[in-house]
Amino acid sequence: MFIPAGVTASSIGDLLDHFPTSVHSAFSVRRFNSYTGFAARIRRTTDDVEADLYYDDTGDLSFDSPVSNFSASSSSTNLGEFMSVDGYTDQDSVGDTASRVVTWKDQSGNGRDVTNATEAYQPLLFNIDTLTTQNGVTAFDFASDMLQHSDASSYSQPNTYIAVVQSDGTSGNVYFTDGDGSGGRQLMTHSSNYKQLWAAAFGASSDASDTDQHLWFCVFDGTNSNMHIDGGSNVMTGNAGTQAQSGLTIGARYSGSNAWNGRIQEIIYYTGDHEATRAGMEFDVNRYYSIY
Amino acid sequence: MPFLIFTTYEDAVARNDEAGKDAGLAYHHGTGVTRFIWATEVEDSNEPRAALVIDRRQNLLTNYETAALVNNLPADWQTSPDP
Repeated sequence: MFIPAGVTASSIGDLLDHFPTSVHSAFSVRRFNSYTGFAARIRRTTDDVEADLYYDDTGDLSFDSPVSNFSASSSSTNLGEFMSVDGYTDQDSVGDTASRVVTWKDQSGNGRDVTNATEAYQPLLFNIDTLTTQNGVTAFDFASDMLQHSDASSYSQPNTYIAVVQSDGTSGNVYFTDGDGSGGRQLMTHSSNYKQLWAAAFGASSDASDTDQHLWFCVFDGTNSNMHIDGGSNVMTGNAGTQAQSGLTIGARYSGSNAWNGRIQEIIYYTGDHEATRAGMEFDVNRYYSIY
Repeated sequence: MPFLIFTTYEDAVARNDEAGKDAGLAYHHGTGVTRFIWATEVEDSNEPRAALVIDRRQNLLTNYETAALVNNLPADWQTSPDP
């Protein structure tokens, strides 16, 4: 069962308790305390049955996470059963299988879920008895995949993003955030072998691309844009451009190209400049993911 | 990677939708979200063509479509510049 709002087994989900102001959308593999809904809609690949996946008793995603609201008949009660994991009853007689993420729920309360109705774009959660993880925490594995929220509204700069991501590569131009293509776009990227921001122009970053897990704290604010990696000092200079953000794409360019190949665990998008509370935000995120 | 080329984006979406229905995806039962099978590439032009990326479930194609698969996008395909 998921933990009801206000009942917390630990402090793993208190980021939005301490920093609730101007949250546009919040996506995570951990449950934030004020959120009572399900984590993701998932699709079992062997028979294409979909289910709502909830956080477990401690606010994580695990084989004990409850599942419900199936698109076709299922007797499963948790992810282990739904995916016929060794040690769990194969309730639906599916054998070895995999599951992919159809929808990642927005925990901000704003209903800005990111989703993809095309199976070729859905990131991997599970494959044959194994949950995708990064540094011991469940992760969504993006490989030519993207999840997207469309929005007729645009949100002007400044905007702040906190992200926990890992990349399988360092070359090319690949994005893990973008807009929806209808208006302004704010990209967080690996570009020309550097971590970069783009909102009509690339800023100048001194932090080289790599394949490690990192906490990105980034503010899009024209010539005052900044990027902090793993709690460090600002590595961005120059002007990243002044475009607003319209909608949100996670994992690729809005069109599906320039895909980020790697694991994504958390993206929190705030409107406004939250640099003043950066240290506390980074501390909260790192306490859960133990990145640095 | 095999591509199936269409003269319009709408034609590609319609074919993808038909394949999703044939595959029994949850959307077509009215109980889920997943509707389409293949990724779609759209040309950056005034009259854009579209291509389905047939990297899976090739059994859902007709014999005619299978014969029409190409390994590369047409040479005159216009792609949008980064970013």
